[in-house]
Amino acid sequence: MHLKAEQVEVLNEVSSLNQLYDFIDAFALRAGLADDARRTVSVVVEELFANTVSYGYPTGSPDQIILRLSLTGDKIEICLTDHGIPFDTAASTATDFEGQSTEDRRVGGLGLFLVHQLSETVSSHHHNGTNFTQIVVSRSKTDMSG
Amino acid sequence: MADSAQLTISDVEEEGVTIVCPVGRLETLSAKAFEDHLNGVANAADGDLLVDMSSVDYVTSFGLRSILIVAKQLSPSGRKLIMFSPNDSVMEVLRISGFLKIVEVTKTKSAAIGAANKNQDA
Repeated sequence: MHLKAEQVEVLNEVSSLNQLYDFIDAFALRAGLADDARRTVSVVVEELFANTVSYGYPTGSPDQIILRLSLTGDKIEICLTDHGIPFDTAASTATDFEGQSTEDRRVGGLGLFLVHQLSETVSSHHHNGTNFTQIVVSRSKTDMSG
Repeated sequence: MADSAQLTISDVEEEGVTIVCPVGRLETLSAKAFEDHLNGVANAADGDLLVDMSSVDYVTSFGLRSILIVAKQLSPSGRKLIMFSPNDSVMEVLRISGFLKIVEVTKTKSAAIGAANKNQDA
């Protein structure tokens, strides 16, 4: 099944997450995504967007962030486009949170760690002041333990 | 009751333990209200704190952070935060993040109640 890419454009503020959730829910409904896949997409988008908004705009400059979702076969592609400080999401994590003790645990970085663990591929690149972050997640994830 | 656009929270008292029942998404926008609510319940009772996760759609790192903060605050007094009945997606995020080693998670409510220290005044 190929669902034409759908996108939404929101302000770079954390409250825009409400709009993104509505957009994801509507996309999932039209694409016939199972709950597992919808939840994975939601978690990935939330982490990426929250991270971008929190660290990408130290001077508070307004921006429009675009989220695009598309479904091709068994793959869901998530693409986030922003104009904040470039951040190399693809290379952002090597932390083994499962190996940490309770006392040593730090939550910082956990969001991007989750993104990597829940995704098949994570890539990011920058061009002319625009950052593109592309994530591919599986639509039918029966084993996420890898 | 403490509500946000993404999460509705209520409490029930059952067999001498307080059970917090969040409904919705536990994420960036709702995590602080959830954390404040858990702290309020923790301060009002003295047993372990149970969280019914069955109606939580998904949890992100901000939600995990609020759970961790409350669990750590309870810990010095020998109290626990016990979650029960998470869906598969929530369970997966708990596992990936290593939270299953920090916070007790049971499949059923009865198992959670069985594992809990009861409120003294119950």
